[in-house]
Amino acid sequence: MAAMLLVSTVSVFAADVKSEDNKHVKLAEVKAIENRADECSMTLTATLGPSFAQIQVTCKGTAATCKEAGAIAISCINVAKSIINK
Amino acid sequence: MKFYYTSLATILFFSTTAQQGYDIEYQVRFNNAFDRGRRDGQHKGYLSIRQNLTKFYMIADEKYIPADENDLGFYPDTGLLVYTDLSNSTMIAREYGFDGKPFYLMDSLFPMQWQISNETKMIDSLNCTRAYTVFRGRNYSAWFCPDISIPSGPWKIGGLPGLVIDLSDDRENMVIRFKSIRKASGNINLPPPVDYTMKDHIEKLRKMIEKLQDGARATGSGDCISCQTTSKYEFFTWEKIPR
Repeated sequence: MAAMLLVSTVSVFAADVKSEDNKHVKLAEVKAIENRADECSMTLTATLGPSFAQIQVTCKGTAATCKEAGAIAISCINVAKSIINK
Repeated sequence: MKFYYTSLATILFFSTTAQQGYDIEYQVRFNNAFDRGRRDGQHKGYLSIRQNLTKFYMIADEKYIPADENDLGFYPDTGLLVYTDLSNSTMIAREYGFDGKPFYLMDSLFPMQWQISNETKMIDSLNCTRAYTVFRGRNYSAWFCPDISIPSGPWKIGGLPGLVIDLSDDRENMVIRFKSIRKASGNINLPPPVDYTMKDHIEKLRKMIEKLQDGARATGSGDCISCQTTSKYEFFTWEKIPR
């Protein structure tokens, strides 16, 4: 009966994603694809840097909850920010 | 006959003012999302020429509005500031660091190789010839004026037997159109020479890319056993970094 756990693919673009603690996690582009009831994938894309030399960071997070996946993606963006600001 | 009078007037305008300078105004359209999509912004471009010295810069017509809170791009009001000194073949360009702070670097003066075509046309009252080049990974088409025997142009473009008054890359990410030219006087004050070169800058950017790639790998580790991440850093520079 494991197949019963599968849910439809959900894609959300440039939308507010409500995390489990009811706080909005604003992401530029979010693809929340829940292909398993116990897993959530998120993609966060950010543009960093001066106009003529930019870094586009695409961070993907996959975790048991959407909140956790979002936190991974945001953490990844923060790592990029800290490196380029050094 | 009209063409004759126009060309004669042009030659007289420039031949009688050989010791004076010129101010040229351009309209610039630049795609801020080059290589990723389209997000065009309009700018005014200004090229000042005083004997052997030139100064180019552009000012945005409107303030850049970030696409969203993750658009942390830095869009200075004044961009592409470039000085040249034709007497000693030097070019000094202003760049911005990722911290938003400006700095200067020494660059090569007009290193591009040109192919001059047979195409001609009048732009405003100026008789122009078309030329093509590849510069730092992009294909450019330029219209230059043999009647104005100044080998300069907007941004870092030059080295032709005449002033470049129209420039665009083949994807129209950067389109620079002539607006006006007038006689001018006054000085151009060059920034002091710097040791930092374009070659140094490219090397610095390369190291930053390596750091980011290392950072992406490190992001995958941590306490969260069930978490997975496959991050990607893509670097986009207008002047492409050679691989």
